[in-house]
Amino acid sequence: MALNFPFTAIVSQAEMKLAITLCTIDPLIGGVLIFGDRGTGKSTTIRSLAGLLPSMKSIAGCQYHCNPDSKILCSECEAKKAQGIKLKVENVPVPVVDLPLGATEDRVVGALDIEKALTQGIKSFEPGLLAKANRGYLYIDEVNLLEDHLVDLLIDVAASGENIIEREGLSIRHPARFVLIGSGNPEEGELRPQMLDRFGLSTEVRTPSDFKERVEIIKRRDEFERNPERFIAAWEKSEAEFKKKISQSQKLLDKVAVDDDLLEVATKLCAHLGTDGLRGELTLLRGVRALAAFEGKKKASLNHLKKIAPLALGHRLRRNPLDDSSSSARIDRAMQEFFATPSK
Amino acid sequence: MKSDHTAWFYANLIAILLAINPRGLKGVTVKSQFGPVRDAWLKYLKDLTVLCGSQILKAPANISADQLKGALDIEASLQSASLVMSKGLLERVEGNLLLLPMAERMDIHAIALISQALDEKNTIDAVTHFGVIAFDESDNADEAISARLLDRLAFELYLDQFSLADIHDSLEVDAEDIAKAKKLLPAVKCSNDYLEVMTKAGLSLGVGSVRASQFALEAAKTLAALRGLSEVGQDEVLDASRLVYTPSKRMHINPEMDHADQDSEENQDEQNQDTESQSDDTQNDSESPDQPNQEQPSNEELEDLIVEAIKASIPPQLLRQPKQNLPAGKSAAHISGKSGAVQKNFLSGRPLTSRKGRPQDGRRLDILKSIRAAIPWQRLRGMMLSGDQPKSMRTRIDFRAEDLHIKQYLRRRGTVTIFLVDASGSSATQRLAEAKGALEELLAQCYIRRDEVAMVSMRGAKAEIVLPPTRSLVRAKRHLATLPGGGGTPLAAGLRAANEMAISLERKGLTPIIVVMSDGKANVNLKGVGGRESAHSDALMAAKELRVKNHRLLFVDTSPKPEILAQELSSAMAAQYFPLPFASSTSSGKKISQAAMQLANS
Repeated sequence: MALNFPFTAIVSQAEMKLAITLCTIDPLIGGVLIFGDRGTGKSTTIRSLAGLLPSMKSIAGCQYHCNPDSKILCSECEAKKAQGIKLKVENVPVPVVDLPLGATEDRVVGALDIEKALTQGIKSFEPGLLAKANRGYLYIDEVNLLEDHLVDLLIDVAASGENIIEREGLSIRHPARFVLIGSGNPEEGELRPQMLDRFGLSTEVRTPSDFKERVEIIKRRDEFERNPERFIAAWEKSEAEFKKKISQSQKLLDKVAVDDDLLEVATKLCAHLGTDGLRGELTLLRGVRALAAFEGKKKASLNHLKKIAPLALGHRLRRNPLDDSSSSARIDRAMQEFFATPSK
Repeated sequence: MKSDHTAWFYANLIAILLAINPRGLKGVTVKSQFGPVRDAWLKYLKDLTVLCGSQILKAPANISADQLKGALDIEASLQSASLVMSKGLLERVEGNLLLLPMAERMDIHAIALISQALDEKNTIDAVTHFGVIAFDESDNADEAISARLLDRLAFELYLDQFSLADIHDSLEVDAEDIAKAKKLLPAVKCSNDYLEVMTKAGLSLGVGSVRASQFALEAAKTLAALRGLSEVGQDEVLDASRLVYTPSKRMHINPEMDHADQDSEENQDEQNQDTESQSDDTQNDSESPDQPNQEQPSNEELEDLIVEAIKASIPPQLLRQPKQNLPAGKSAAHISGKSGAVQKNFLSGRPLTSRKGRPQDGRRLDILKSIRAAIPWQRLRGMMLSGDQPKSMRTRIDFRAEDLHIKQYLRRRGTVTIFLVDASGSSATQRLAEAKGALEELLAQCYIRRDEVAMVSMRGAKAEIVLPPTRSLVRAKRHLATLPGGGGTPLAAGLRAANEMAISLERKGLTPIIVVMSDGKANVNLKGVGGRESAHSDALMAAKELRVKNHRLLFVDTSPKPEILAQELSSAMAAQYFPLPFASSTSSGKKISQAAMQLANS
């Protein structure tokens, strides 16, 4: 496996890092969309995520890494369980699967296993990337350039949490719950609104214009390329600390209380911004909770809400073609309006 | 001409650096037409790579994702009755250099795969790295190499500026030098001061991407290794910045500034060349003594020096010039060569799922799919056949006609609406706002229709593309915000420009729609000279050229009341005539976009 740049060694880009961290704490937030210029470290950050994730329990030998504690299992594990076979449990790393831009539908959803068909003459299913990504992360670089038919497919699977294959005489369904992480450059094309809505949080990254930050980035990158093992070893301590913080936050997550007043403010904010659907409110709520847990608080506050709102709602604003400001500028403006007027 | 020699030496130097350190520098974009100069440069690089024990692999022009990543090798698979994958180009190229001809015509997916591989393979592992040489042969503005690839390659080389006389001698390097440099490279250090200076200089030049600064550091180190130094010195910093911070790495210069530059370009030309040769001279001077007791400038001075040196090097306009001077015959030949590709196009495009059918009239058989369809039946068929047919007659896989699948492709028949806008002094502000309104109105529909828009403005003595075809709101906004107005109406030039753009879009399989927004009162002719008579006859001629091409046209008459000249032009180009008396900009924008959409659906 390739060595990845340590997450904690990434300079600046606080918003992007926060969004990814929150998604790790609560996968139900529903993924992150990162839009930004070239050369801002989008891919580096996401690839470094793999090193940050704690391992998870999984049924040994299961292609979809089924969760032994969960009630929903894949058909194979279900069959084994019904036969009374004791299922072995093993610890596996959380999968972070890369969906390359040119991937075919076969590769994504899975297809007939040619090798078995040719050599043994039996029909068997070869799982695709969606199976691999079950219970983990699916990273799509250049998500705005993805083929339309693949986008449709992903939207469907992401919504239902299940991948259904009906092709070549195969009829299979398997669980596919994953966190979508997308990145792209908005200048190369827009994302379909349906797809946009699937992402829980969105952030815009810019190249750091502060030269000290840039120098630091280049220095670290250079050090890393020179001797990756040593660099990773040097950052191991902070990585471990961060990992610990994440697992602590995960434990704290369920205990975080959000009172009704805050909920009301969140609903009003969404109404004020005119976001479509309820998904905005839900993500906002989950994000607030995750942030409070990350900060070690047991009660969410208005400040948490203010911090999460741009991330959770930025991409859900209705687009006015005649308004040319960026979505982050617009949400800042709207938030200022909202919090300036005493709306109680 | 001494300066050209030095420039050629710089081109040599880039090749040498790339041969030494393909891992860190990743590659070079070569902007040039096909010709002896490019061949000479490539041969130079080839010789160098042979010295390094690697080779240059050339990718086919229309490389597909399968070829890059490797796919099922059908023949071998059938022979051995097991799965055999052919090695993809990206795997074979490891440790070598990948040559991409006509990189500007490459499929966006192929580019994405290559740039992904560059990101992944070149970071750590010493074995899997590879370098890319991208040949960019684009000769007009609407075809350009993908910015994604451009950003990921350290260098950029313009070879059109050289003549054969400039290149007869090159820098000489032998195998020993390169081997030494390669060995030395991992140990080369760069002090923080120099690193800061390079980054700062990059920032003040408007270099946005962090990658560029990274490349500058790598280049400086490689240079130091080549010169046998264990630490990056001032010369290396200067040379590396100059090589890496090329015009396209720098921020988009807004069109206004571009014009200001262009006006004074002629005067600057000579000056620039003077300063350039001067700075080269000073450089050579400082290089040759290379003594430690030489007076070292402070960091700020060095930074200024870098900025100056880069600013003094050839301005982008100058580099574009040789392309404009291409003989007409050549570009015509170019077009006819490509129009052949259009006819084949109905069998290519984005792949769709295959369907049952026979491989007739040039349709391609999807072998994989056919096998898949045949596999489940093998046992049954085997049982049926085993009785009445000799064993030797049986093949490994028993195909029936109904198993055969053919490939299907989706050809993207999107539409592009080209707005040709009269931005002359008389109609500028009001009508320009309307055009912008219509454009944005259309863009807002893009979500559903997946259409693109483009804009050509007529102003002063010439027409220019203000907005290349795009689907992106963000980009359109940025370009439109700075759209200037004023000057004469070069209608003929505008029609020509729109026509050319439409033709090149058609070549890509898109349907162009041209919306002309003008009062029809041309007052600048094709030569850029004022005068209503000649301007109008030129415009009529250009209008007839448009008619020949059978484009879908909409002529929006922007004069206060219907204008005879406009009607004449409109009928000459067989356009739909659309008089538009004064109205508020938003409502007329809607009207125009509606009419354009009707035209698209017709």
